[in-house]
Amino acid sequence: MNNKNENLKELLNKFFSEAEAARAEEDILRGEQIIADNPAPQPDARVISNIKARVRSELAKREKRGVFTYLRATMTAAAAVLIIGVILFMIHPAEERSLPTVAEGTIPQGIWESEDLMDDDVELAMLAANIDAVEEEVLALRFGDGSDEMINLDEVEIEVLEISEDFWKG
Amino acid sequence: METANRRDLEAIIAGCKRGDSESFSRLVDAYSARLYGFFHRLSNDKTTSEDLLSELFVKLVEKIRHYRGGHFEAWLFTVANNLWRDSLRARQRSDKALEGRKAQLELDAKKKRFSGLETDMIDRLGRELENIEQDSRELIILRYYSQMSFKEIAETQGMPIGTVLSKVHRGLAKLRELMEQYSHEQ
Repeated sequence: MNNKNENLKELLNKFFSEAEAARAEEDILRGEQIIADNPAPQPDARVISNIKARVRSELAKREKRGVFTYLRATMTAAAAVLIIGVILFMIHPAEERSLPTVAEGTIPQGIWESEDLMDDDVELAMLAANIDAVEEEVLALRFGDGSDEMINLDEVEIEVLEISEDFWKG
Repeated sequence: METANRRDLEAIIAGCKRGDSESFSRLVDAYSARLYGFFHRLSNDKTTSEDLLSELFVKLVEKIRHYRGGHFEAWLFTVANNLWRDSLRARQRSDKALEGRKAQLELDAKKKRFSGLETDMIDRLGRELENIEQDSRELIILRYYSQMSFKEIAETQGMPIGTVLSKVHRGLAKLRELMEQYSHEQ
């Protein structure tokens, strides 16, 4: 919309009394006529040609950036395709391989059926007792005076290894 | 005030959106005089007006893509007005930073302005406009140069139309009074 198309009188009448609106209309029209009668200075031809040169340079920069962005986008897309390909290649053989399963037979029947494991499986009971003993030693070391700490820790470690070996030997 | 032919304008805008240098050149030819006048009436300073005009067209290289139809001049002058306000805020910040030297700078600026060296940029209307409240002055100049209706100004500036009307009316009434007073004194 252009301000020449608006009905100023009608607009002013919505906000002012009839007399005020008439005065406001006159003030506005005469005020704008004063501005029209006193035109602002014009820009120099040199200024205009400098602006055009700056705009050309900005357009060239933008075009360059556009090409760079396109190349970067293309390279990113290619890299993404490559990465996805590698991932798919790695996933598929893994799917084809059989997953390690725990055979039912390797676990003592008692473990599956017992209400109280410690009573039914002697080895498991011994392991649990040994773990308790090591735990006690560790706690004693943690809250102890700290003397000979390194020696005691070594002993505990050796003990744990022995227990572990004994258990798996069966 | 000249206005670009509507069909020509559509072709120019389409070209600018494509990044066509020739279209931008035509846009500069079509609007530089009005926009320079707009900045000059707001700043009353030749260098500021030239800088803002240049800055505006450089900004348009990016911004023109955001123009989605409608009254092009309303859009263009809203961008110009925002640029003016940004520059004003930046100037106020730098004035604050230079507070110690401010009085001296203002004195120097006044001497320079009235020395006759820059009489081409100091016209009577420019001086009198400086005596009008800033927000009224901005609205008056925006309306005159952009040819926006009061309704469009209210929409683009986010103000009630009644406020715009009364600010413009008050400012123009004062301008008229000042200009007539000046004429009687001569």
